[in-house]
Amino acid sequence: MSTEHWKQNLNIPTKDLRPQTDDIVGSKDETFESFNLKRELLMGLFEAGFEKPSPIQEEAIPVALMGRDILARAKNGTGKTAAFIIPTLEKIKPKVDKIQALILVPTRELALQTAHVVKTFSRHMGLQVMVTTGGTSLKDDIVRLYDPVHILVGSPGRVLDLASRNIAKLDSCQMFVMDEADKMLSPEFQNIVEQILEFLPQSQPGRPNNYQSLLFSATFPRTVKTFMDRHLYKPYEINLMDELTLKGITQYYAFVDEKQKLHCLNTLFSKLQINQAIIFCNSANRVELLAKKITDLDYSCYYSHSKMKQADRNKVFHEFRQGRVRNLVCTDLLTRGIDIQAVNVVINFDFPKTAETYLHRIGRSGRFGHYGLAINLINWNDRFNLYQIEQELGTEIKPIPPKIDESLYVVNEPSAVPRPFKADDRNNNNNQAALQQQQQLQGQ
Amino acid sequence: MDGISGKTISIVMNNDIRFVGVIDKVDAETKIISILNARSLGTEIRVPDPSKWILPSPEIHPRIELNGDVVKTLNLLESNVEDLKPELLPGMYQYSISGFNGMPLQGMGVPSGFDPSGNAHYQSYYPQQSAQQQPPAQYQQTEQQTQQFESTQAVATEHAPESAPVPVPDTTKPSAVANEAVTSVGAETQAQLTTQINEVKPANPASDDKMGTDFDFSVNNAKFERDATKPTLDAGTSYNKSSSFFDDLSSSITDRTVDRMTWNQEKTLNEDTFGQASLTGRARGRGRGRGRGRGRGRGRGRGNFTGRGRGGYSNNQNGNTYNTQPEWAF
Repeated sequence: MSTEHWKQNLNIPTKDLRPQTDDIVGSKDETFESFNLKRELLMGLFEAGFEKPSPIQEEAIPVALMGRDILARAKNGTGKTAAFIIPTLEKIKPKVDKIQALILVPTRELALQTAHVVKTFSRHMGLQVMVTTGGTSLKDDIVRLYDPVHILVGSPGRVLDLASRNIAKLDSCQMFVMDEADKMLSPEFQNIVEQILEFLPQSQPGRPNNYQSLLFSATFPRTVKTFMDRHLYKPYEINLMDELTLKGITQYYAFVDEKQKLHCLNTLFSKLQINQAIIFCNSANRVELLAKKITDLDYSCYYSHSKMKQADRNKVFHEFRQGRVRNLVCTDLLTRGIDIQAVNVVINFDFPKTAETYLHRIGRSGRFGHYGLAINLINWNDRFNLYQIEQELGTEIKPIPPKIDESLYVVNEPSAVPRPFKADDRNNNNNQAALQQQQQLQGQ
Repeated sequence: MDGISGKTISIVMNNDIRFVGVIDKVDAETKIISILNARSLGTEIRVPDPSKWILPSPEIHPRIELNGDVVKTLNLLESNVEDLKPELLPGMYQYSISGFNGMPLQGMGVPSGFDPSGNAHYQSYYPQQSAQQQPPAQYQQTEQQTQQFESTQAVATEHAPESAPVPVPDTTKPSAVANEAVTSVGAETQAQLTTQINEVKPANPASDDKMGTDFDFSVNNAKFERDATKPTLDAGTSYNKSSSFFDDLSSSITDRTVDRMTWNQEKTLNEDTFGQASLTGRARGRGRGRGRGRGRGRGRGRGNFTGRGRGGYSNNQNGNTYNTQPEWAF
């Protein structure tokens, strides 16, 4: 009896009752408890609104707990992040003040988001999580590393910097995770990642690594296979992608002249029931231009691209996640991994050049089996890309109808859409209120 | 003093921000008032200048303490603290995305979701109009307002623009505008409103005449003959789960040149799309003309934050160096 008692005091969030596709419903009837996770971890999971493992979680968690390397492929927004964070947390020893897990991600936004999930799940575990990426003060990171860190979440360049200065000591790191693994193995990152691996606990050649590797993504080009062969030990492959595109996302094109794009977008804004939208352009310049035009049309929007200061990017990302602005215009910087449940429309103001980019862009809506729209503005020059992407993905992008069926994407109960969980707020509510109050007073 | 504990209180501070909550206790000696379940309703209608607005905050603070010295006025209210709504100036609605957890405009008896009532925010976009429109601070029953508004909406969408209603104060009340107007606005209404935009902001390059009408998707899509090249949809050609874990998708990872345009190409394209090549070279662009100040001050001293490049923008746009930097930050 007393074993069930702890559940009664949990602070469970409101349930998200939006309809979901079946590809995120687990088939094995597993529960998180059946994985024999620590109670503190279960508490964090339930408080984050997790009830049952999704298919990728069902597959990956038990294997990861056994200690095997994993190569996992699952669609965007089907629960990959939790699938590697849960076993990682389970394996951390809170009393050992060393970096025991390294999670590499390609952007700061994703690092922040991932660290946030780690903090939320580990709320009752007493772990120290640190985020480190380029674009922020190295000095602050060095100071931070004087204190214990159990889990390091970061981008490769900065992690390598800290590791090679022997400031971040990775010799006790038992768990090596790469989210968006194919992106992490792109030419710009791969060399750095391989250097980082040399700081992890080494083993004799031919023996299993002295650390465990978990690699996750929705896309794995054949070119990254050599890395897997070299650095993973008998990886357990999990592939839950029967087809490439998400079931919940309806894709349309609108044929336009380049000159008509703004007009077309304006009409889309007025006709669509946008809960939140991400609008992609193909360059930073175009992002800024479009954001300006959207503002001139009296719609609110933020924008983000890699040429902005990191602090500005963080603010934009945070505010958009919190739902404080409806539209976000961005480059492909935010195509990967960004999980904002309230996004029900993605607009490709500029059509992407590759199927991989297209797939990750449209995966920003329809998160976790929910329904969403992807609308592509296509000009005459884009037609070959359109054909090619359809062909590669085995999907049909249909012409946009005069009226779009609302059941395909409209969020009827926006209040039930989860906002990002607040990892620290519940403990610090009073402080925060005082702080905000102060800020408001100072604001005058 | 005990008599007032548990009562709903509304406090306007010297800076015109209003807090509502439940009184916990008032300490006469230290002049500290503690309030439970406090919410900030922002500056509401007390501050007409958009650059000084503080918007309502969705957060509920379990307990705050206010120093009596910063309090301008203080009222005890009969109603429940949950029922109190912010009194917004019309232009504020654009910032209040409804329907999200705890947002102040939510849970006021308005049907959640996006009903068409949102067009009030178009009509009320202009501070110069809004100052006169602002009704005295009193609320009618939400139910009534909503109905009233819906009928207005019906008129607006069914008849010619001339008969569409002019902005009336009722429609600008918070409950009626709980839904931001990015959502469905009747075509005629949209036309009419855009005309207004043109009148008020003749310099706006983005709202030339064609913006007033709907883009016709069917007509344009009809220009695009694609039947000959319909894809075969049995399966994607680049991935087959049963034969390999890996895929052969065209990819920006494997082909890093594919996404890149030269600056010359992009300049031409940008002029085509936006009528200009870039925003830079305009006195650093920062905040200039961004929404005429409406985009400012939305909350807690964030001031000018619009995400604008803030000088962080690289001007390295010549020839080969353009766009050769990886988009992905290290």
